[in-house]
Amino acid sequence: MTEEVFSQYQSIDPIREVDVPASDSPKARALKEEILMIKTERPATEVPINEIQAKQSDSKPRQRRRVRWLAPVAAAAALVAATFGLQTLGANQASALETAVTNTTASLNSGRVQQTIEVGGQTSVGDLVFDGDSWSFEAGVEGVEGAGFEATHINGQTYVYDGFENSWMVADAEWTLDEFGRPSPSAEIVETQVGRALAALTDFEPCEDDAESYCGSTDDDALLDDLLILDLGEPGVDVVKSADVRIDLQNEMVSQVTVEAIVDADGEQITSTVVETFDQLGQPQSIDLPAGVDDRANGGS
Amino acid sequence: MTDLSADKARFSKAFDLYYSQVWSYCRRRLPESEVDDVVAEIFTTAWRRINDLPEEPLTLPWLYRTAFNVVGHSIRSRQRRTNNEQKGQRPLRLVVTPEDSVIASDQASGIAACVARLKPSDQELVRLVAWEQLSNEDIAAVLDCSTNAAAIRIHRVRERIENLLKANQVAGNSMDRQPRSTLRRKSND
Repeated sequence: MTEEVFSQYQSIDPIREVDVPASDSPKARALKEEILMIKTERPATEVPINEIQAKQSDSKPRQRRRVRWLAPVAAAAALVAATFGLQTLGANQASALETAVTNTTASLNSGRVQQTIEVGGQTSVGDLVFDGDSWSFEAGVEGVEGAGFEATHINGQTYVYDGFENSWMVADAEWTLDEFGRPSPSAEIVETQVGRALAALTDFEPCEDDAESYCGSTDDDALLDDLLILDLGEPGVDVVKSADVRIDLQNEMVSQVTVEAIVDADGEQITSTVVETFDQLGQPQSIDLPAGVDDRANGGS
Repeated sequence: MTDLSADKARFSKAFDLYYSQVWSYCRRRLPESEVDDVVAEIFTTAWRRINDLPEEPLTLPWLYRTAFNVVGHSIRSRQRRTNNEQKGQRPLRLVVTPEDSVIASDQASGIAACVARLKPSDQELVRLVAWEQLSNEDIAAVLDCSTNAAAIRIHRVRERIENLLKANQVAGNSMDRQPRSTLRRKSND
């Protein structure tokens, strides 16, 4: 039966009834030419994005700081933050967010928080919009649409999710967008907020043995579906039931993420552990995957 | 060949190879009136980020991932525009019920109804498997996870759909009433 699920769903593929334009169709050719014109109209330097960011870093110290802490957040987000982000906010959480914003943001107006943005050197005003389930950003600035970022607001703090970078960043009352419409953090950002963000987003608390680390457990389906935890199991056999997660910070940056998951392996519950460490630049250093086999051999709980 | 020429050649190749697939991806998730603009946005992003566009075989998954972001943004933008007129309705996320789906069978309609009840990320996974017909490796690339993780996620989605189907079947057997699914054919009423 299950094998039929996808094939049955395939039978209602709406594209079956549609004439799909070919890449050599007039419409497609016109689009390609138009796109290629975009870059030829740009400065001849053709500077890659990372070089643009580096230049911005030189002129704006805050950009350099962003580079430092975004990487660990991007990695950790796969485990923690993103799973509690906008895709998974439940009604209660959304309600809590709304209350928090109502209490802390004077400019809130019917689910809108006015934000100042800067695009291409021009300051403009956009709205963070609460749609009843999540926050998103309406800039009303040409070129911003489609940037693939969203924002959420917890305990008076705005967190912005950048879909392209797959990372969360902390925003304050004012933040900027680069020429590609991607948000940059404001000068007010404090790096320790990364840890606070992780804690706030996941209900984690400082660990008993180390106040610089955050510990928490979850049986949240979204988190259990997430990337590293899934690697603890065997496809089609093991199902992760719950997980304890520990996030270690070093110099206010994520240095290690440890996930200990209870895995229901073919009717038998075992404990599996995965550890991911990060260097000073936030790059993942080692991934021990999967630990389930070893634990099973040791008679894991 | 200059860098710019090489970039153009790379982009042209990706565009020629995948334009139709990206267009189809968008058409499956958006009204026809929005598709061309979104496709333009996706390929414009690919061109502007040509240095980030991966080589084969990861080019198409990268485009799908970008499409996922842009389509999602388009859906949310549309939802926000209509929200003021539809207070009280749950907002759209990446939940898409194709407006012009052709229902092939009662079983398919039942599955469609079950899929519509899944969380958005699971719905997207079903579409990637059933409609885009991606391999586990490609899905892993789109979702930025390991192949193992993708395989498990697919397995769990299958289970969820099966459980929903069973639940629907039980409900249908125990209650003699009209089908609730709006996707059912009228002849079954």
